[in-house]
Amino acid sequence: MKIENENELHEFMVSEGLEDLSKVPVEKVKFGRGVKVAFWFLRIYIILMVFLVIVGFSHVV
Amino acid sequence: MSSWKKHVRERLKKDIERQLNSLPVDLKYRTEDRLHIEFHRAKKTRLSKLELFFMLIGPGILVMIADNDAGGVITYAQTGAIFGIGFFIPFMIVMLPVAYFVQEMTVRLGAVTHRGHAELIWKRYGKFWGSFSLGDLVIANFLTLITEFIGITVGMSIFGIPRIISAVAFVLMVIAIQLFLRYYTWERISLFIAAFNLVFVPLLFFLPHPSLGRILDSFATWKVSGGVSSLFIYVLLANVGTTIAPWMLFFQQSSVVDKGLTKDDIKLGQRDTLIGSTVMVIVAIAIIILTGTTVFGLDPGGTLGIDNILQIFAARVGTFPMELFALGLVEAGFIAAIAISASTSWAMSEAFGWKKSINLPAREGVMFYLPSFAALAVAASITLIPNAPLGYLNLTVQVIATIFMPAAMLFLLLLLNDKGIMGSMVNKKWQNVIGFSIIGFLILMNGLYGISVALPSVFNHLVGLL
Repeated sequence: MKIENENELHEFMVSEGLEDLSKVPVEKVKFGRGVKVAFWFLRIYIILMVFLVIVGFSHVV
Repeated sequence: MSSWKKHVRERLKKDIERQLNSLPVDLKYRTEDRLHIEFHRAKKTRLSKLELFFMLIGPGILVMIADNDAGGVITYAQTGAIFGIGFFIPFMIVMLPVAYFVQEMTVRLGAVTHRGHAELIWKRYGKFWGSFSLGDLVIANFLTLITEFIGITVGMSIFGIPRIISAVAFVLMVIAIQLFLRYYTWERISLFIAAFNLVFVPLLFFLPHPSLGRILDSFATWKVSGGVSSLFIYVLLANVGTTIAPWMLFFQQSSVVDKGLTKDDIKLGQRDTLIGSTVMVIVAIAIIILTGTTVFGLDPGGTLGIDNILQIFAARVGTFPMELFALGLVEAGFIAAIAISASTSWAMSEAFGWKKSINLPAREGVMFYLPSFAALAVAASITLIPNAPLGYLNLTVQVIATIFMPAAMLFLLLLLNDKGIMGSMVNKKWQNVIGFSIIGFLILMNGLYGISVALPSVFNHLVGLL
């Protein structure tokens, strides 16, 4: 591997994803049906767990 | 080489140096590290391959050993003390591939996207889930830091060091390591500290009656001493919680990104993770055997706190081994404090778009360092409060981590199946089957835990059916 001038160094940095512009672009995803279901499941799970935790802590305190 | 060619080459080198110096300091260091790695990769000799391996290992070993934190050491010690040698030794072997599988995904995600876990959740799934994940992580990290300082101060008190001195000294050491070292040196120093986690393994030679036969027998029988009970389920959950935890996902992915690993480094990153998981499980099993053969079966007045366990261990094996055990506890808290505070810094900076790298000097990385340093100082101070409700705190830490892990795993699997960011590196079908099975197992365990906390009578009835 040879890096002998500024252009080669720049190419190296791009290929390595070292600069922000060369990173994989990330935008907010449009949720498909599967993801929507997963997120609703997650919401229900969190509410249920928080409820159980509050009940549990009320026993402890 | 003719003199004019040499002159041109030196001129070019200077140009490159000038270009490197013109980069922001964190990027400059990372580029230098990557250039160093690429030069070694290009050599293709056996020695250079070995050097490349040692340069690339780090995040996987660090995350796994830091997971054997003070809370982890105490949990394994209590597990051995309560249940002896039996179920939990083969169980920990089963947890090895689980820990490897979960953490390996963060290597791929970080190396392909060059982005941290918090940043990806925030940008890909929006502010709601981003702030949920971040808030949960930061709170859990803060509470876990308190448990690390409990371990550090208890361990140092064995050597007669007052709690306030050990708390202040270790806060300053963690801050200095984070603040004054560039990523590569920070990682090497942390690995050096992490190596002391292995102190529990040679301690096995101090045991009066090495029970190899009983250890091997446990693999055949998976015997639960005293049978399945609510206490067994609690300890089982605690062992799961100490083996895979949400902060580990955030830490390893950010570490991979800060180190600058790319797709070409994934294989070595996977080996790094495998070595780390193996060491983690070996140490965990060693601790279970240590207390399982010395403390198990004795009644220490009904409380199996770490102080009690250390006292009994000293009485059975001697003061020197007990001091080594205490030293291991201190190291466990120390390395975890380093890793957890780094994970807080990375995650907050990724989410809020601040500069994010351990390569950052203090002046440029105020926002990067400040939240985790503040958390360190407050966490250490809390351990100094007399009669602080530490038992209640441990429960809270477990509960928050337990609630968060399936959510963190779900985001991890969604990201690993996202072709928009992972391209051809998305999870394969078998990887998803394993991943979702782990989520299912965690939810089942959490459900049992939730029922045991909220509805103990229903839980006892369920356990009675087993």
